[in-house]
Amino acid sequence: MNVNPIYHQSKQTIVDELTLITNAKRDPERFGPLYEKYHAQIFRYVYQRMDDQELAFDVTSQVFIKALSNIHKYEYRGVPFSSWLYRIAKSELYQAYRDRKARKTVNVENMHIFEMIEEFDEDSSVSNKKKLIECLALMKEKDMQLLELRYFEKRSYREIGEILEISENTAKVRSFRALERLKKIFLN
Amino acid sequence: MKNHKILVDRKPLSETYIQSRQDFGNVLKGVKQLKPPLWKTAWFYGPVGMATVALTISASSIHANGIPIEQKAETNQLTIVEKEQPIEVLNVSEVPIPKAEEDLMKTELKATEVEITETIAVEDETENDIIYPKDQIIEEKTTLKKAFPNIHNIYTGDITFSELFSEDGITCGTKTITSFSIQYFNGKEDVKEQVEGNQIPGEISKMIERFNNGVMIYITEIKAIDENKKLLSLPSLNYIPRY
Repeated sequence: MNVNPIYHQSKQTIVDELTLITNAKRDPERFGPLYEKYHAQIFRYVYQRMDDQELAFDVTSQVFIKALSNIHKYEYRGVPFSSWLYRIAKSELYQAYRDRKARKTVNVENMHIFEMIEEFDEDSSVSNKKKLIECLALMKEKDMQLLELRYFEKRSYREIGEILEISENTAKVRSFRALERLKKIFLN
Repeated sequence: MKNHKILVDRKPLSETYIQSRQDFGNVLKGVKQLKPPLWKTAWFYGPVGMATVALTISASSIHANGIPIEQKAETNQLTIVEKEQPIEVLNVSEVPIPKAEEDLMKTELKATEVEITETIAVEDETENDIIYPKDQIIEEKTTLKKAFPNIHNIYTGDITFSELFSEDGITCGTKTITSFSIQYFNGKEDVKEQVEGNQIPGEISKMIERFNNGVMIYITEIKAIDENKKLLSLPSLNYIPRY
């Protein structure tokens, strides 16, 4: 499976980013470049999991407000800044689910559905597609999170680990198990 | 039970549209609003809070006493003057004593400790703004003096030969002195002799008069019997006899 290049961070990019972070720590006004760089990514991550577009923009703003007010706490320990933002986004999303009664939503593309059916060695028929969508709706939150990150957003195991604050290997194992559970539900 | 709403192929938002919704100014505004007010920060409750507490306590204590600060200071000064008088009596124990006598002294002092403590308690009360009349203080001083042995009401230091050899001898309030040791210079060396009664014998008196003019003599191991026939050890005496 190909990894989405949007989420990939080279070492050089991370180092360059550290300069921007240091500047933002000194002066909040200089957080601007980081905001412009990551706004779309974070919005897509949020909107991917929400039905309401306006609420998604609100949550995204809230993510950056939290990030800027806590930027003095950010220390580079091998985890890129984007992963730190995703963690905040994850936390803000759950808060929105609780406080604003936002509906947990999963956005999938047809292509991803068919890829998954192929992974299960089944026919890519319309009925199977319907069945898989129904199965996805039954998945538990933790499993769904992994399936989304890995199979719908095509993130690397390393990045999944960084966002979920688990090791790369654990992310790999848990993603596999989540897929196995979906397969089990699908085949039964 | 369905845990999620599944949307398939939702129309994606364009990059331009998402960018158009960027509002960094709103983020900065949000950060400012997120900051707690000054009175909710640790900085406020640190120095400012402590200063307020200190001021409140001092203000309430002044109010409770009903005395302005300046008057209070004056009262304290007066108290110190009053305190100095009874302490003079305690100087008896500060006079240098021969090393061999020190341990005995410690034991002997215990007998007078009670009375000394009482005097100090009276002083403490004066500190709490109770000013005793001077005659009452003198009475306390007299009570304290009664606890110490003396010759002709002299407790230490210079004494004339006539006072030293007076008929009253060593006295100590209502206690009866039964024996004592006296250390003096006999023209060759320091000698120490045990004496029964409360008077310095004639032979020793002659030696002292002859060889100890301006030389300190030590009267130690003073034993006495109180009203209850209880044997007591009293503090030592040191005199410099002169003509």
